[in-house]
Amino acid sequence: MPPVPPSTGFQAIVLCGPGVSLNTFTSSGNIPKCLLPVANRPMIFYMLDWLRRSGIHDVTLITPPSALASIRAALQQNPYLTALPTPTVIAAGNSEMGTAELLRQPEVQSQIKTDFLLLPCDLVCEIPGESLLEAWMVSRSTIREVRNARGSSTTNGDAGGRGATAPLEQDEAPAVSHQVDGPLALRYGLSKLVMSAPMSTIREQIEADKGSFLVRHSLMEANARVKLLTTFRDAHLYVFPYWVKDLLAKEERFDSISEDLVGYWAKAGWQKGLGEKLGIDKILHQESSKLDSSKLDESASLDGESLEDEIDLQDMSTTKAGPGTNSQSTEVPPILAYVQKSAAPYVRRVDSSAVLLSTSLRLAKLESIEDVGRQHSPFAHNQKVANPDGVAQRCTVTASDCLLDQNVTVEQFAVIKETVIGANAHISSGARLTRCVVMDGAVIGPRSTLTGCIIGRNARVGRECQLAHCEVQDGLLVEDETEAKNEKFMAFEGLDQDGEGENWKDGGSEDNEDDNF
Amino acid sequence: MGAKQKGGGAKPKSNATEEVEETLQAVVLADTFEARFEPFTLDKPRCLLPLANTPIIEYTLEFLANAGVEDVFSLCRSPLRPVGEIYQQLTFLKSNSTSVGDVMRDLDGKHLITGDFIVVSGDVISNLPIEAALTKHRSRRAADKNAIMTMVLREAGRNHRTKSSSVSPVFVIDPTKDRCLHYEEIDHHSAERPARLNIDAEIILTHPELDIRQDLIDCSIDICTPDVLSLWSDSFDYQSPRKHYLFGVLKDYELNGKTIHTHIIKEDYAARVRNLKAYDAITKDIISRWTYPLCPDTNLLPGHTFDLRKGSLYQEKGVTLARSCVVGRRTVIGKGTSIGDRTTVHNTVLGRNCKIGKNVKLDGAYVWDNVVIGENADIRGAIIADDVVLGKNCTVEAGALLSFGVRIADNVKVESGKRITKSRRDGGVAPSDPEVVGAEGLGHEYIQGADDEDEDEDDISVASSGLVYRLPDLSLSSASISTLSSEISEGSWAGSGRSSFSEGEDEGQDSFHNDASASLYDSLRDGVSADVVQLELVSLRMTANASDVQVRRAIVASFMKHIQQLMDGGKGASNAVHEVFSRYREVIDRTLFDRNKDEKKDQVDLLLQLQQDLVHRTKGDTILLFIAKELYELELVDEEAYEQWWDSEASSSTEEMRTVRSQAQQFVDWLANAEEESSEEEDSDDE
Repeated sequence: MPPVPPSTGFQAIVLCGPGVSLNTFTSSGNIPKCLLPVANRPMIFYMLDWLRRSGIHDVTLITPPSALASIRAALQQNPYLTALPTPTVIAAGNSEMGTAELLRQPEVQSQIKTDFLLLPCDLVCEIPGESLLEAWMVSRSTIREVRNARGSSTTNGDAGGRGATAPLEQDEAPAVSHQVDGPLALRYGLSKLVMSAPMSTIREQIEADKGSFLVRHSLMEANARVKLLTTFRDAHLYVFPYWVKDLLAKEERFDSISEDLVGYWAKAGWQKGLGEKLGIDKILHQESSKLDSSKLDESASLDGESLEDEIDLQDMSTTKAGPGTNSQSTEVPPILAYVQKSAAPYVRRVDSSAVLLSTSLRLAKLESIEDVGRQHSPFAHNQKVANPDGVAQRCTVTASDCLLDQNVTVEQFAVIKETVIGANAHISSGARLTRCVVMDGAVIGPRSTLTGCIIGRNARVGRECQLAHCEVQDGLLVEDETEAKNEKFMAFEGLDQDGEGENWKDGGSEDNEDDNF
Repeated sequence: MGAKQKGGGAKPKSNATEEVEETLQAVVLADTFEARFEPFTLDKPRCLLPLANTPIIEYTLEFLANAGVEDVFSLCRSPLRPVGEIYQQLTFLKSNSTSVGDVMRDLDGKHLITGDFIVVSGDVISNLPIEAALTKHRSRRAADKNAIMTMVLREAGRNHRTKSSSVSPVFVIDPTKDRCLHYEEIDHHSAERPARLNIDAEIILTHPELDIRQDLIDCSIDICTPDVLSLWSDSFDYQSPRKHYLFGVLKDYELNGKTIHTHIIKEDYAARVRNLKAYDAITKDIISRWTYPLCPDTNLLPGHTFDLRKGSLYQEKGVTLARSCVVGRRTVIGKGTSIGDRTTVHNTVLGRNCKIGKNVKLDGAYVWDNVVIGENADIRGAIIADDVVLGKNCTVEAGALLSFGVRIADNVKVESGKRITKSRRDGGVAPSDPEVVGAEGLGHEYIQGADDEDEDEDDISVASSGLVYRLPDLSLSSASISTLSSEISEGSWAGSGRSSFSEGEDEGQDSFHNDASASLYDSLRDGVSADVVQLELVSLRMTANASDVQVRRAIVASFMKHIQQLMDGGKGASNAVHEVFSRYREVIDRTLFDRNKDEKKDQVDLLLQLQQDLVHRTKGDTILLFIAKELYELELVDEEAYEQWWDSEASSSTEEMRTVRSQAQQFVDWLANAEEESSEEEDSDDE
């Protein structure tokens, strides 16, 4: 492939869903998902900060109309967000739309002006964006990132095609195969994606095929070596070339980006005729005719670049690797994927309360900027305990793994370990908090013992409660002396309020919402 | 025709560190039960064919020696004497093996294997150190004794020149455990091949990471535990080590709990001399020293004195080169060979004691020992076996194969893809065909599968040319494999095996006929009721998947035998016939399906079979008459059927047939009259 001048100035489209999977905290309608605190910062902060550090300034947030006002307000008021360049916020779609459909909306289409990154609002990504963009520019192909899931391999049972699930598609899964030229592949660890499907689809497929998983021979012919990964998850970090906009606009059958667009595109790389059927070739042709002739001759694949980032959480994704051949990709540009196998750097989508908890606690362990300076991690806070005066003398707070925001008050005899506490929260005397997230303004009653809990904003936990692995909705009151395990404390009317709780498939949420988590 | 050699080919080079537990044994499958090297293999087993002037098996033995193997068992089925002469330390065991599976089961029965052993195909050329694989295998086995086998595979691109182009093996491997979970072969030439690999759901769902790989060269080097042999014994129908054994064992993991592992090497050389294309490719690799130290100048055989000269030229001592001859690059020349004036030699392997005349052009040729090539000959890309004599001004085109002792007269052109041999498959010497080898020549064109009952000879002749290296359509070798395998009666294993299928059917037919007629006869004699006879017949038919024709044939044979017996016991023909047929009317009725058709095929067939059977029986003519009558009365056979039968050629083809049906003439005449009458009646009715 001839060297192509890299397109300058990416733009980023961030999809801010309503957060169905975190419905304990989002269903009241007050806080959209992207504003939920992760380690005391709104979730969207991590994405916006990542974009800022990657040098992408043209950022558009797409949000359902219902959340528009609160997001705009937060962008102007939240101390963390005001420090960042303000993105454009537009409302588009409705709660029933899949991600691909959302991008077909005229208001979104009109926003896309160049090669773009498509991102979820809930990604916490430690991989420097520059390196991904650099890989994209060099390889001029699609990149998708997959990261290994640790542990649980729950299948994602959700019916909506969410981008986050990057599990296998009938025979294929995000496949990773070595890029055409070796050094490149080695340098960036990129693989070619030949198949991607949610595990649920795969299971259905297997069911339909009477208990066996069929792999087309044409796949094997095109890629002699295919790696099938079933525990990886799509991070939903994509870098798409501009023509994807047209493809999305044209192909009405696509519902979800991760499942339909990526899945079919990956397949089109080796399945004969699929590229034509999807109209990829036509779009590429139009595209290339617009470009300089010098560019288009050799390969259409120069336009075909997208960078995707996949995280694997509980879902399983399959990945296959095979040495990609150049000849194959002249028609349909390959999707390249970056598969991250090690636990570090950290790439996670915060789309379930378990991840919210673990991510918060993980971030809480970062050394503060005050102690070690800024270079250690971009996500470090200034101080571990923002208001030391609020912490009473005779209580235990393990500073190394706790994070206490402004104006937190802790009464004496409280024991706080591995816990994140939001601004204005109050911990009464004798309370014991272990591995908990306490959001802004919550109050923990005296002598209550909380382990692995998430306490919503302004919630109150009464005295002498014993809660383990519970979630408490914001503003809710937990009675005194409650004992509970693995429960969600939610107000029933929360579901009825403007019906938001039922909109599982909101347009913006293409993230992985694991209801079953 | 199978035989097996057992050898204590102890190699002195054993590596002391390897033998901590027990001696390492090896089984060399010198016979692959394929015939891709015909016609050469008619005269010499494949493992003894020279590859860069060294018999193929030497490379394999060297490989084993390097691996520290102390005990080599080798098996070879094609004529064994040459192997015995050369490897005198080997002793021979006769056996009737017709497949690798048989050999393994045989080996299991003989209890020769005591510990871990290496199974290697007799045509492996490899310089890979097997220690790493062995160590891994042993540690795996120590941890879990169900890890019974480790396959050594070589990573390569999708298309590698030593790979077979017709069938690609696909391995599904769990890279975290190096465990092979599934094996399948993609047959590129089978018409009805499924378009997808079929992987068990269980495998997908329980393994987070899987590699599906088609880029591995399977060089048939397996490290096995004795359990492998017992699994072979447990499954008597496994024939090929991969397609059946590996596939089957992996499939039955739930049952046997055995795991098979892989050891994938990325460096080193490993390839099998699978076919002539691979022969060509591997020779080139050896000459270009990819296989180092397995190169001609290593002089594997005692007495070899090759040394390497500039431009990959390997030359033994005692070569006579004319002053004006040109010896180009990548050439091997054996001792005692002389090359005449103005002769050019490029990319060619010349054996020992060859006489190359003047002004000869050799390019890409493989010339074995004691070959004489006359003046002005032009040979490109051909294999010329030992003792061939090529006259003056001959041209041998690319892909031609001249087998042992062939003599080509002057001025003959051997066309591309021709295979010429002196021998026949049965070991005899066929008359020469002057059209092919010229007036004074010796040899005839060898057509693969010519002796078979196989019909698709056209395919074969195409295949024979296709098999030859350097032609673009090499892939056709698979077709030739199938025909050849059928010829060896190996079964349908090696390829599409249409012919072998039909052969199997024949066998099935015979055994069904014998079983069915014997059992029917017994039943008739014991007077078993018609229902029971019918039931028995159906079950037999199902088991053997027999056709209706076969069923009728069995019925006819047993019925006639029984009738004959009754008549011998003193019964009249009419009584005997009546007794048998009326009683077992139903049995016959169930074999006739043309009651409502115009053309009474089944009924005619029945009558013909009866007629044929009765030819050889005493009073056959009388019996036939009564049977005809009886069948008519029982409404088993319609009038039209009699007519068609009578008119059919088969029923009057021979004198005997005519004699036996002579008595039935009256019945048929009567029938015809009756019919006329009845039709007249009908006509009158109409009126």
